[in-house]
Amino acid sequence: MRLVMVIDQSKCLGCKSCVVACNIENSIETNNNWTEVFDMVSGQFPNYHREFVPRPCNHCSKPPCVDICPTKASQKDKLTGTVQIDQKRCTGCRYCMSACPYKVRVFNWKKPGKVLNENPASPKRPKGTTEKCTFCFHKTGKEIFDAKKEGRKHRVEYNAKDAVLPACVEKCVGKSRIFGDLDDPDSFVSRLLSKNQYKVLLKSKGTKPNVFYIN
Amino acid sequence: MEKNFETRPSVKYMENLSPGYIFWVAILLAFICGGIYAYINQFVHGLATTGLNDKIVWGLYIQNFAFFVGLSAGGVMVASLVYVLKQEQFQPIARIAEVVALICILMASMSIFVDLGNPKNFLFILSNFKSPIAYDVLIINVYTLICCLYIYFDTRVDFVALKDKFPGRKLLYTLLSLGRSKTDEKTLRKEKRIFTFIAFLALPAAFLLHSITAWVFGLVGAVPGWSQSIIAPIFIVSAMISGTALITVIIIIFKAVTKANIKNEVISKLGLIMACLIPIDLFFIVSEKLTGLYVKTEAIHHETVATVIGHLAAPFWFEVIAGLIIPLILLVIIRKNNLRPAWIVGLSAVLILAGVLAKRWSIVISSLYYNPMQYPDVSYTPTLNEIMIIGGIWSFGALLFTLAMKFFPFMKLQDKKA
Amino acid sequence: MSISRREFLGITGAAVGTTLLGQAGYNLLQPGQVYYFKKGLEIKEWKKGICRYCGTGCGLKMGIGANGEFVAIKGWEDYPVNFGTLCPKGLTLCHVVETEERAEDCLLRQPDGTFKKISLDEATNIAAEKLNTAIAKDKDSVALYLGAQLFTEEIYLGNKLFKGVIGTNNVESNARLCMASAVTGFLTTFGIDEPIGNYADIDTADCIFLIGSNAAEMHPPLFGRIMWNRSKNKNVTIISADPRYTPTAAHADIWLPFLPGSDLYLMNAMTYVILNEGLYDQKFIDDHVQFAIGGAGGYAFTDKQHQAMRNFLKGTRFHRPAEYKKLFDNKKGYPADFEMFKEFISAYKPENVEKITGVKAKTIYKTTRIFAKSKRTVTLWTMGPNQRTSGTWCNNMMYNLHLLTGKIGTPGNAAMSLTGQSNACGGVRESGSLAHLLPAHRSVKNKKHRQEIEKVWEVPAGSISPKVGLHTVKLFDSLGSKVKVLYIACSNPAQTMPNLDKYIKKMKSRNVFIIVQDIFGPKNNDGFHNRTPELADLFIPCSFWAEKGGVFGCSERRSCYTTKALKNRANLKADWELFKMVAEKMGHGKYFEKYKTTEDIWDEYRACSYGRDVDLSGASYEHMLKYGGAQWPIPRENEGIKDGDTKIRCNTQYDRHLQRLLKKGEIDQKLIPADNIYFYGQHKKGPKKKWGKAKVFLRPGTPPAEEVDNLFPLSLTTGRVVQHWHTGTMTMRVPSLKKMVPECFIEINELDAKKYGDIKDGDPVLITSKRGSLEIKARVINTKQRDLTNIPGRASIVREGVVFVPFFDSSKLINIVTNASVDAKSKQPEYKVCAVNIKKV
Repeated sequence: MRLVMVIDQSKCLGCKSCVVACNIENSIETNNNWTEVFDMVSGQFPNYHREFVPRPCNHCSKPPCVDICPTKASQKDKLTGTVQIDQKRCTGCRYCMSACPYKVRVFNWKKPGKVLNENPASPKRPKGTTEKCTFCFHKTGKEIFDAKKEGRKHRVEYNAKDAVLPACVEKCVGKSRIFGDLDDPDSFVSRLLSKNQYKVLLKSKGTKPNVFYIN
Repeated sequence: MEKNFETRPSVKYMENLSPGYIFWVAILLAFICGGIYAYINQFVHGLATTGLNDKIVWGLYIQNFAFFVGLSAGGVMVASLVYVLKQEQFQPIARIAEVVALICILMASMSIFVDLGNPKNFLFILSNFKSPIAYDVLIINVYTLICCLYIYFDTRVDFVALKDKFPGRKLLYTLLSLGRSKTDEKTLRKEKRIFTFIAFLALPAAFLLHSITAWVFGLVGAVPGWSQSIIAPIFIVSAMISGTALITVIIIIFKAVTKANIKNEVISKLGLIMACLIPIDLFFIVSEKLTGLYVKTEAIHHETVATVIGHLAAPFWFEVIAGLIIPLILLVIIRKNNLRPAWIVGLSAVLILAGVLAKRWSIVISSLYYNPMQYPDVSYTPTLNEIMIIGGIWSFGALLFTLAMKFFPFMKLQDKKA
Repeated sequence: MSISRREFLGITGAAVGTTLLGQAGYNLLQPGQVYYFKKGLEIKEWKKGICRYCGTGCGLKMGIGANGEFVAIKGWEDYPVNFGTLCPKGLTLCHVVETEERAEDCLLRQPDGTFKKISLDEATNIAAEKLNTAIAKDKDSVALYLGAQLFTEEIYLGNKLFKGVIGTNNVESNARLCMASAVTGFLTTFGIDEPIGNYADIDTADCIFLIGSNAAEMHPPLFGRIMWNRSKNKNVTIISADPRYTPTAAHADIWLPFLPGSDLYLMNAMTYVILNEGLYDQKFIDDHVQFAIGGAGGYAFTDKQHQAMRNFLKGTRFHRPAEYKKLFDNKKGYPADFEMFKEFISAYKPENVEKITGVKAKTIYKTTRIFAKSKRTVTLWTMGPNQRTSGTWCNNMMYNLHLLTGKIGTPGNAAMSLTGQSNACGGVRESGSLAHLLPAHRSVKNKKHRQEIEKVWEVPAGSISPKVGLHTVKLFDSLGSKVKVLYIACSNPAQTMPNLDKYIKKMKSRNVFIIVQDIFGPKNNDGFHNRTPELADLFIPCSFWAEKGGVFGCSERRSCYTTKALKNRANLKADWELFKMVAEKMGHGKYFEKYKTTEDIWDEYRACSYGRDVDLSGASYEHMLKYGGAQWPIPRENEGIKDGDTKIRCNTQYDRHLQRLLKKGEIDQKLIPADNIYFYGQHKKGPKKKWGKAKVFLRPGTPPAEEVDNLFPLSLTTGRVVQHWHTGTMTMRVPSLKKMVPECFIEINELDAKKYGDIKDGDPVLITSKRGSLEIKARVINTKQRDLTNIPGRASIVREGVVFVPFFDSSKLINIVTNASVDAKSKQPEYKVCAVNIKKV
């Protein structure tokens, strides 16, 4: 299984609902967002160009943060193909943060403050550890692990009625974020990527990101 | 033995405690207490007490870590002049260099430890041998052990001798000599063999130590200022320069304080070593920056422009001008009686140390300003808490050396050949 | 540090084919979007409601726990407005409900200026006493100022208390500040109020023309529908006319960066292209259009409008003062013809107005061709054309474009003003809480209407005054002089009134007693100002949104009920209960005895709308919850039938009211042209051949009330940002939203920044107009030709000569600077254009 996110930039309004959704789902204090929306402009009047680039963790296929983590706290989850952090192992050296070309990782510089209406299902975030977007592993991953435990076949399908999706995908106003399993040739993301030209962030870094941008 | 008695160094300075000494120790203790307080503060409130942020993740601690590692490796390299390169004239400073190397590696370990956000998971750090940091921690430990053995086999005989000289400190010297008090020729010869082996081992260990530290940075592809193939040689050369400079400064102070019998020629020679190393360092810097400036590959070019002519250029030019060019001129031009005056060498050494510190800032911290994802600009300024912790570590190192002056035989008490 | 576009987003995959997303089975109805606030608590029940923020009117569901806790929120999946999506404001409504800053105590201002805690009983006693004392002298010395974010029931009841029981028409709503021009614009053109089309037209349109609307930020779920439409149909063209390069403009195919206040010129130029290139629909014009000049219905003009009109009439007989006077005294409006209109428009050749509008003629030609040649065109606008001294004219012009090209009244063709507030359409326009209106589109000036409403309200005949009350700006002008007691509910005029300093002084005056009903009090712990409660003499806290329940009516004539789903906080009373209590204390209890629940009020209101064009009689609470709201006209006959909604008005196929009129024989079937469109609002006016024809007005280009000059060389335009709602009292208390945009800013073009003292991003800037000045942080976005620059936070690029400031920040009151000149007809102030200068501090 290879969980990926496809982002249709033509439908991103830049409203940052995803950021708000993520903050509440993961009980994140507002100062270290796990996901961002870049608002990129270029050009001269009146021919400006502006595009919104939502940025979750890329969950790279060749993640430099995992290779570089001395404690094996950063791991590539074999079942889902996502990059996850084991907070119980992280010693807070922040090496991974410098190794991530996208700088998606954030650090608990202090004890996470009390957030309004904390979500108990969200990952615990001890002081002095690194954290990042998990593709809402506590939701999406749980489904997959439960299915495996019970020995049933589980498909991550964006369009399915009972799909369990990351908070940002669920809450995207423009339906710009699309989530699914790229190893499954019938999944919506596979079909999208086979039919559209797609881009990735900082391709030159060779990290093989699993977040794809289409237009 | 009788004949050489006059030339043998006096151990008088080890005996009495002058008011100046006590005052100095008190000052250092005060700083250490400040550092401990600051660390407790950091431990309780997290690294939010530092000026670091999510984009510039490493600051003063890692800068000093790299600096101390360099000093330590440089110290061993100077010490090895005596035994590996058979430069007997440096004999009087060899032990100082060894001790400084040990103290510096301890300081380096401390600086990396205070940098950890979650130190209780420290032991996990040796889990992943794909990570350069794991190797770095490993080599630091091995290197510390080598330094200890090096010092032990070099000075055990003197500890035994001092046990007789200061009966009051019998326990201390017994501990330091690990209870071995045999001084018969067979043992000495055996120890000499082990010592020579360790001395030969220490030099590659020092090289490895500093290279791996360089690769901790150099293997991070995401930071173009770090991931350069030339980074290990650059680190080694600055380690040698800064190590030599630190030893020089300490020797000059040591000589002034203890009136020890260290010839001016030795100091002048140290100046010569620095003067020879500076052009090599300059050469590496030019070859690194020239590539960055000339080749307009996105990342490296932006990075180099920022650090050489951009808003991050201050530490770089401080290093090049104050840390390299001025000392080079001073060391080459000013002579007195065919010797470099001690104050000139001392001044150059201080400048070089400051320059290398600036260079560590430039490499470790300025490189992290690279921001291809266009996050809002952030900057890093150390907080008082951070400076207090680093001050505590510096004071701890200085205190160790100051205390060592009272019990450690920096000058050889007896000739081993005898 | 900069980075090129290529480096940042590198192309990896090659397209195999250009299959469209729509064909890949895009699922609009995404289920399971539960948004938990309190995880771990089981959701016992999902209760439906409507988001209380903007005029989009998104449906949502509240997850309620076993003990009545507000556990989660999610979009109402099959609600035909948002299809389950919510913008960041709607997502975080829970934080507003539960914030600790909510006021719970009644406060009375003491002579020394401090507040004293009093009981609710005392508070209502004082309110009643103050009102009664003032009424005893002069009925018109009291006034009610309502927020268009109250539920319709509450607005209806407040309206009854003041208009019916007290007998003054001084009932105004802050909707006057946001959509009064939309009302007058629609009324003048079509003779009825509220849009013909609906949101569903967006889904099928080929061309979407947004002018003065930043829908991507202000109505995100609606703009999402535009995006979905385009993803299904690549031929869709989005045109954005806006002085700012907003996210809407960024998604648009064409951006028309016109200068603020030049909208009439721009639209006249577009009309020129339509006429000149024969892009008009002659058949439609023959069947449905009458041309008009002047002030139909006795509409007042501003001086500048008169000037523009006189300039146009130069050389005709109407230029002579006597003739001109006659022209505009004529209550019916002077009819013009197509030839006259063509002659009039010939002055607006795009090349001629290039300088005034700041838009290249080439772009105007291109835009107009797309606009007119597309099979289905939707025009959307929000505050841009409305908050203007020529707001009514701008609205007329928008309809002109559609009427001339015949793009109205059929699916996919619509021209709509998107409302700002959640209940501006429902509560204010429909239930008539403006100074000249009575419930269900009735007028206070009409004797028959007054009698009907007196009967519904069961008040003595003649209780309702025929005199039109004071409009908002006049009302605040009269504070302390004519008006002695001002009752404010759910609005923040001390932050939103234009030329604010003046009105704050008036509100502080000792001669006026201000009663404020709000959820946030004058005292709070987070350092945030609640400007209006701070000026209150008597403050009464009230319950909020789903704590009370009621109906909101959104921009597309859709009304829907918000369930009373949440527990009442600290026994706070709903606004309607407070109105009722005050009425009882005033001795008018008997008129309010029958209202036990909001449903009683709603049922009375919808009953009184029976037979009107705004017929809501079929829209019971039950019906609205079952079918996702009700789009009026929805007469009783269709009760319980989903298809009872009226998608498109003025089309006999869809419009229930028109169908009824035909059935009853009030309109002759023979009058209906072949395309089934009949603008029945104009039915009874004029000679027979003009029946049922919409008016196309000659509206000469008119500059804004305050033009730029050497002293004040820049145009200021104000507005919102996506994260914050109006004055920010609610959204600034949501941590994640506050963090994203913590304070207001002034957007300055990089060229202007250089010109006015080398202003850098983040510098404090002093903005000054004739009325006041304010220090704000500058946002200067420096763009590069090929390098991408990230704009952190929230800002857009403004064109040269324009600055933009959002008004959400209660510590930086930009309305001190704005101009209080009003549209002569709609009385809506001109927030969008005023002349300022800037200086680096």
